[in-house]
Amino acid sequence: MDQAERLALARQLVEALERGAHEAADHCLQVLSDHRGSQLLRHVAEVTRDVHQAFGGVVSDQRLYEISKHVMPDARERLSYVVEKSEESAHRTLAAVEEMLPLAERLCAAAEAEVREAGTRLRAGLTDVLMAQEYQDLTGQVIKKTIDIVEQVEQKLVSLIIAERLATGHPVACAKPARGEATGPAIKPAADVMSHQHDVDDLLAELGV
Amino acid sequence: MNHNMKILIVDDFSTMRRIIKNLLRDLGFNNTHEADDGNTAWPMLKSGNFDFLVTDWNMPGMQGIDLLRAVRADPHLCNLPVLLVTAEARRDQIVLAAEAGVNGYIVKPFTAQTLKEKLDKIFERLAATA
Repeated sequence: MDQAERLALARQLVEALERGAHEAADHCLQVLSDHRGSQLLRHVAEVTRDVHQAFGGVVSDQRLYEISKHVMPDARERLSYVVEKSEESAHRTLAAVEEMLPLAERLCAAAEAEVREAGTRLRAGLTDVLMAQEYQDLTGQVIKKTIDIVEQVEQKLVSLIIAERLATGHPVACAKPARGEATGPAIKPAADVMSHQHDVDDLLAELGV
Repeated sequence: MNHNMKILIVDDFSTMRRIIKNLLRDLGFNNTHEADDGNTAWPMLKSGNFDFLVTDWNMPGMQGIDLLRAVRADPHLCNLPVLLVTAEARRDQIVLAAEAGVNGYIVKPFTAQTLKEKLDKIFERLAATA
């Protein structure tokens, strides 16, 4: 249907509405909307075909198989290693702090004012070292979540590849593992996140806590 | 504030449990115990005569918010003061915790000073309503 035909139909529609001919008006609307509908369906069919072709090409791509088979499990292992090593390191630091804190306490109880002051400063410094280890909890949570995401994507990829292999009957041959480049996670604060303790306190006060 | 009170620290990260334990010791609280999620904490709370609960939110197994709800729903534990120490910082989560009856909420990363302030505030309020 070209522009002139649509314009003619629109004029008929207005004219029918003006003279109160509802059936004629409904007919014009029906013709116009049928045309829109068939156009939409054609577009959907085109997009579906494109997606199907692109998808088939991607899934049968050898690299995708290598990614799901080697690169992603390797990435998960590396991430787990980071969690493990940073936890170990944090515990070593905490053990050292725990051992030194009683020494600082002894200095705090000393007779000389100068030694007592050194003890107080040492104690404050050790508390700072202690608190700094909380990064391990925060980064550990982020990394564990990332490992979960990688695993989910990996499983989906594997099932896609299996489905494609079954559909086409093409076995996927093994090749050398592809090289994957790992980039760190970018973390942006969202608008509804309370990034400061005082925001949390304000909200709790509003809620009567 | 009773410095002999029995405190349960619940967090899946052993580093964080150790940090909180040390901070509490520094504030004079030596009677601390640990659990790594709500499922481990629950039987301890049921039989352990705890005076105070410090819990994380996001843990495998039973989450901190569910532990808080279980505590509030239990006739023997419903008055136990609960402090959430968590990286969960969305507004709706804080509202949820307040609705579930939390006594204090600290977002990670936090400072030793924040922990002290929240403890003081919780026990001041409890003393005022007692």
